[in-house]
Amino acid sequence: MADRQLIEPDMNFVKKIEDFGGDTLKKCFQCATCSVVCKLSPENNPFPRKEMLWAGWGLKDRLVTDPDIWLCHQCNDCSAYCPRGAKPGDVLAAVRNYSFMHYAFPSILGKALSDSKFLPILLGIPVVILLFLMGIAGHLNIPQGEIVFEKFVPHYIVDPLFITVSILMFISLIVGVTRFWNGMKQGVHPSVSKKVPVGDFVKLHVIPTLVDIFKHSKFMKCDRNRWRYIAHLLIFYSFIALAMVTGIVFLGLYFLGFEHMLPLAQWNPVKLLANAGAIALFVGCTIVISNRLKEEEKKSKSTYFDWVFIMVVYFIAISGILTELTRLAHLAGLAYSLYFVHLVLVFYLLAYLPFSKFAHMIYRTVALVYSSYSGREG
Amino acid sequence: MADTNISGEKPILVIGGGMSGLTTALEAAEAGAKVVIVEKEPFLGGRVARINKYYTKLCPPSCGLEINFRRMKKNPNINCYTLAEVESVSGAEGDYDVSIKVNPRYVNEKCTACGKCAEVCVTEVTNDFNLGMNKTKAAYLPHYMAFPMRYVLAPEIIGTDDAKRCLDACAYDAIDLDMQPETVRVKVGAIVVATGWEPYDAAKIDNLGFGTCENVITNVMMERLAAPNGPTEGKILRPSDGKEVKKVIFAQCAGSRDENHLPYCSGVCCLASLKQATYVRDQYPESEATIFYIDVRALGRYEDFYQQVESDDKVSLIKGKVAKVEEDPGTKDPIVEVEDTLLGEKIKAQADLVVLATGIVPNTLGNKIPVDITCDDFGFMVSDPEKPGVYAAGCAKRPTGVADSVQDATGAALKAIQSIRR
Repeated sequence: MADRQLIEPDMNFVKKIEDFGGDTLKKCFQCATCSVVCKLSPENNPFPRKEMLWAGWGLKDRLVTDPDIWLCHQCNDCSAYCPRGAKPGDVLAAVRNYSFMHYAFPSILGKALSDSKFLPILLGIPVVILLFLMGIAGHLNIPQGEIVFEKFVPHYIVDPLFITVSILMFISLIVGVTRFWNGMKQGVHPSVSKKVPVGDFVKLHVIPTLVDIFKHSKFMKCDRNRWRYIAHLLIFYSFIALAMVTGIVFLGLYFLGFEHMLPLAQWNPVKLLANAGAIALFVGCTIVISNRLKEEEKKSKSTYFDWVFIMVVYFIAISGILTELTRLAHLAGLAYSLYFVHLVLVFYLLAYLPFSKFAHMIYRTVALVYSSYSGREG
Repeated sequence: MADTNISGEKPILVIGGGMSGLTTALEAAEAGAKVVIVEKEPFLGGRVARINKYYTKLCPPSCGLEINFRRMKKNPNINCYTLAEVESVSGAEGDYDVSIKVNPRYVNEKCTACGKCAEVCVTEVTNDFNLGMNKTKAAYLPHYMAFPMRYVLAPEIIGTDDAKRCLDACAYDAIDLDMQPETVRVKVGAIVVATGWEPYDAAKIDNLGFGTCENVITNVMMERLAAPNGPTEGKILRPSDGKEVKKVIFAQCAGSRDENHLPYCSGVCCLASLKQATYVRDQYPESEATIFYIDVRALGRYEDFYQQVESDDKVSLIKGKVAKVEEDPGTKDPIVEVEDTLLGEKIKAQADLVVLATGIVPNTLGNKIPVDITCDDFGFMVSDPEKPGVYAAGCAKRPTGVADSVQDATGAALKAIQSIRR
C-alpha cells in the first residue's frame, strides 16, 4: 500500500465554502452527471465531481492548488442537470472565492474583502487619503469657472497616489500568484519536471492561452447562457479600452508634453474610445446584474463577494458617465462630486484587486497557462 | 350476482385488475367476500402481463397470472368488468354507491377467439399491449393469454366496412356492433385502489436521447422486445435496423433520484436491468451488457441475484451515471458518456442499444379516479385514518416489484375485509 494517503479533513474550510455560496455541497451523491454535462471538463480526471467530493471532505490543500476550478466558466449546466440540487457551479465559485483569500498577501486584506462589515472602512480609506491630499494642496472647495477636474484634484495628487497603489497592488499580486503557481506544481496535476526555455514557454503556453482569453473561446462553449458570454465580452473589452485610454493620456501628459490636453474634445479618437468603453461597461454590467437576479432563485446564487465587485464596477461606469455628462452640462457642484466618487471607486477596484473578485482575471489566466504547461486538456 | 355475500356483507370494489388488484380480489373472495373488479383495459394483468420474466426466478408472467386466472374462474364471488372505469363514488365506509362506466367491446361472451375477424379486418391500430411499438389489427386479441380470452374491436372501425367484414366473418354470432357504453351501479362496503403505475416519460429527460436516438429505449420496452409475445417475437432486435444486439448499455436512474424528474428511487430498476442483462446474454452468447449506475440497489436476498449476474464476465457494472447520449449518424449506434467515478476517467461507450432504466409513476398521481384519497408529494396514496374504507395496494402505495405487490395486496384484502365486517 505504497500509495496510501492520510486524509486530513479541514472542517473550517467546509464551513467557509458553505458561507461563500457553496452551502449545497453536502447534497452531492457523486453520480458524476456534472462531469459529463460540462463542455469544458477534460476526459482525464474530469471536474467538478472530484472537487465536490474534496469540498465535502474538507480537502482544502487539494482544492486551492487545483487548476481545474479555474477551467470552469460557470455556465451552470452542471447545476441545472444535478439531480440533487448540489449546485456544483456555485461550489466551484465558492472555492475560487476562497482561493483569493487563501493566496492574499497581506492576508488581513483578503479577509476584509470577503466580509461586508469591512466595506465602510475599505471605502473610507480612499476618501480619507484623497481628502487629506487635497487639503494639503488647498483644494477642498468647488472651483469656479469652466469645469476642469485638474482644478479640483490636481494630477500631481492623483497620479502619484494611483501609481503607488498600483505598485503595491502589483507586489501583492506577484506574491499571491507565485504561491499559487508553486502550489499547483505540487498539487493534483503536478507538472512533469521538464525544463522549458522561457521563449518556448511563452510561445507554447502563454500566447495560446491569451489568444483563447481574448477570443473568449472557452466561455463561448458554455452555450446555455449566451447573455453571460456577451456581457463578459463587453466588460472585458471595455476594461481594455479604458486601460488604453488611461495609458494614452498618461503618455500624453508626462512624456509627450500635452500638459493641458484634458478635457479631450468629444471628437478626439481617444475620447471616442473612452466613451465607447464606458457605455460597453455599463451595458455589460447591466446584463450581468439582471442575469444574476434572474438566476438567483433556481440555478445559482450570488454572494456578497460577487455583488460587491459587480456593483463597484457598475458604479464606476455610472459615476464616470455621469461625471462627463454633468461636466458638459456645466453643473459644477455635481460634476466635481461625481468625479470624487469615481476616484474613490477606481481606487477601490485597483488597490484591492488581488483580494477581490477582480483577481479572477489573473488567477484564471495563470491556471490556464499552468494547465497548458502541465499537459492538461482545457 | 347477489348484492351481498352469505353473511350479508357488501362487496369490495377493487379498482385495477393488475397483479395487485387481482391478488386483493382473490384473497378477499377466497375468504368469502364479494368483489367487484374494475379494469380499464380489455384484459387483466396490467403491467405484469407485459413483462418477459420476473426477477429473480426468471420465469415468465404466465406463471403467476395463469394461477390467478384459474382461481378466478372457479370463484363465484368475483365480478369483473374490463374496459371499464369508475365514474363516481359517493357515500362512506360500509355504504358506497359506485357508478361504473363499461365501454363497448363489440364482442360478446360467445367469442371463441378463433381469430376470423382479425383475418378479414384491414385497418391497423397502435398496439397498446406492446406499448405502441407496433400495430395490430383493429379486431384483435390483446395478447395470447388475455383474460378474458375474447377479441376486441377498436372503436375506430365501428361504422366502417371493416366492422361489417368482421361481423360477417364471425361464425359464432359473437360480434355485436350495436353495443353502447353502459353504466353499472353497485353498492360496496370498501374500496381498494390498485391502479398501478406507468413508466416515467423518458422524453422529459432531455440529455438521454430518448426520442432523438432511435436505438435508445426504456426498460419497459425492453421487456416487450424480449417477450415471446412482443413485437419481435422475443428476439432482441434494435429499432433502427432490426439488427441483433451485440452490445447493450443500461443507464440506471434515468430520471430517478433526480430533483428535476422523480426525486425518489423506484427500487426495482436495478434488479430489472440486471434481469434484462440476462435476456441479452442468454439470447446472444457473444453479447456484452454494461450497466452504469450510481448505486446498485439489490436489497436483502436480491444481493444473490446481483452477484450471480455480476459474475458473468460479459456483464460489466460501472459506477457513474450516464449523463449524455448521442447518436452516431452513420451506424445509428447510441454513444453514451459517463464518468467512471472509481477511476476518475470519462468514458464514451458505443452500443447497439441503450436501455434507460426509468422509474415508477403512480397512476394515483393527479386525481385520475373519482375516489377521495390522500396522496404524498409524488402521488403515492397514503393511508389516511380520516378516510376509512379506502385502501391502497401495490404501486398505488409505493414503488414495488411484483413479489412485494402481491404481499401488499394480500394485506390490503385483509384491511378491506375488516372494513366490510365492521
